Amino acid sequence: MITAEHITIRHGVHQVVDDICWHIQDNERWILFGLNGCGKTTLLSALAGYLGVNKGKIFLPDGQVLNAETKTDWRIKTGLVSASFFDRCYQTENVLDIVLSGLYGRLGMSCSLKASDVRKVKGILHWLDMDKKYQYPYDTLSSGQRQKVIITRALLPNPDILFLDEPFNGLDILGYLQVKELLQEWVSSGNKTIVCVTHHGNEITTDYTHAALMKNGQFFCTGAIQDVFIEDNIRRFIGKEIGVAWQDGRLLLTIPSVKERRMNDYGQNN
Amino acid sequence: MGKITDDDRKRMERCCCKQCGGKLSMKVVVYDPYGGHDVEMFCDKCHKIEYGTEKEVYHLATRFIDEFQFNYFLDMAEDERSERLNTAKICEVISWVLNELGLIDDNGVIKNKVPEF
Ligand SMILES: [Zn+2]
Repeated sequence: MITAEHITIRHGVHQVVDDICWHIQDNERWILFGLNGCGKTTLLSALAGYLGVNKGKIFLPDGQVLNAETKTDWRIKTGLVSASFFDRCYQTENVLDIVLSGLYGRLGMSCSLKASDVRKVKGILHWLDMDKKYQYPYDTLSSGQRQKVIITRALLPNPDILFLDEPFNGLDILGYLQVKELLQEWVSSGNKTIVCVTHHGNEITTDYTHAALMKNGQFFCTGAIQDVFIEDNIRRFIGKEIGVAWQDGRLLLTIPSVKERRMNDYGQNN
Repeated sequence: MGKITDDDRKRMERCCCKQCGGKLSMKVVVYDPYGGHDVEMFCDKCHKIEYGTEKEVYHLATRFIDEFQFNYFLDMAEDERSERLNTAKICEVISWVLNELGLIDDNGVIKNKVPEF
C-alpha cells in the first residue's frame, strides 16, 4: 500500500498539490481525473519518486518514507509513463540508453550494456514496431514513438506499480492497440497496481477499480469508480451540464448538443 | 539526489562520450525547477546524459568510420550529427565484440590477454 499523508507541492507561491491524502492498496487500479492544470501530473511525478514534496509524507509499501535515500529503489519497483515529464529530461539521449535507465531508477545508464537486458528491450520495442529505432536520439522521434519508448522504459523492470500519465497520448490506432495489449499482459501477470491520469472519458472503463477527481490541487472526491462517475458528482465537479452513463463497462460523458442548447435558450426566452 | 560512487568516479576518469569523445562529468540534471533533479553522468559538449565508452573503443570507432564510410542512419541527413551517432553505434559494436572475447569488463579494456575464441 502507498499512503500519501497531507502532501503539498508548491511551484513558487502557487500550491499545485494542496494537502492531499491518498491510500492506494495493492492491486487497485485508479483513475486520476481532472481538467488541465489541476495538479495531476505533479502529484503522479511525486508518487513515482521523481519530485519532492514541500509538506507531508509519502509512505511506501514497506513503511519507509519516500525521500532522496529511498527514491532510486522505489523507481525500480514502479514505472512512470509521462511524456510531459520525460520530454523535460531527454533530448538527444538514445532510445536504448533511455529504456535501460528504467532498470536502475535513474535517468541515465549506470552499468555497461548486458546482452540479456538488450534482448528484453528489443523484444518490447519489436512488439511496438520500434526495433529499428533503438539507436535513435529521443528528439528525432515522433510523439507516438516517444510514448512507446517511455512505456518500454516503465515496463522493463516488470514493476509492481505503474503511474500512467495520459499513456495513449500521441499514439495512432495501431500504437494504441499495441500499448493496450502490452499493459493488459503486464496486469495479467499478477498483483499489479495502476494509477492512471486521464481527462478523456472514453479511456475510463470498469477495468479500473477506483477514481479520484482532482480540482485546483485538491481531491474533490474519491471512491469506487462507479460511485465517483455519477452524473451529480461530475456536474458539480465540472460545473456544467454533463451527461454520465456507463455502456458495456465504458464511461460515456456527453454535453447537450448545440441544437438542444438552442432549444433550451429559446424556451427560456419565450 | 543520487550519490556519486567510486565506480562513477573511475568511469569518468577512464571513459569518454561515445558520440563526441568528450570528457564525462557528474552533473545535477534539473527536470523540474521546483524540486526535481538527479545527479547523472553527463557530456557537456553534447549536452546529454551519457554513460560513455572506453577511450580505446572510441578511438577505434572513429578510425573505423573514417576508413569504411559506415552509415547506419540512412534516413538522416549525412552531417556531423549522423557521424556522431554512427560513432556511438560502432562503439557499441566494438564493446560487444571485446566483451564476447573477454577483453573488457567493468574496469575497462583488459590488455595483454589472449582472446577467448
Ligand atoms: Zn558528447
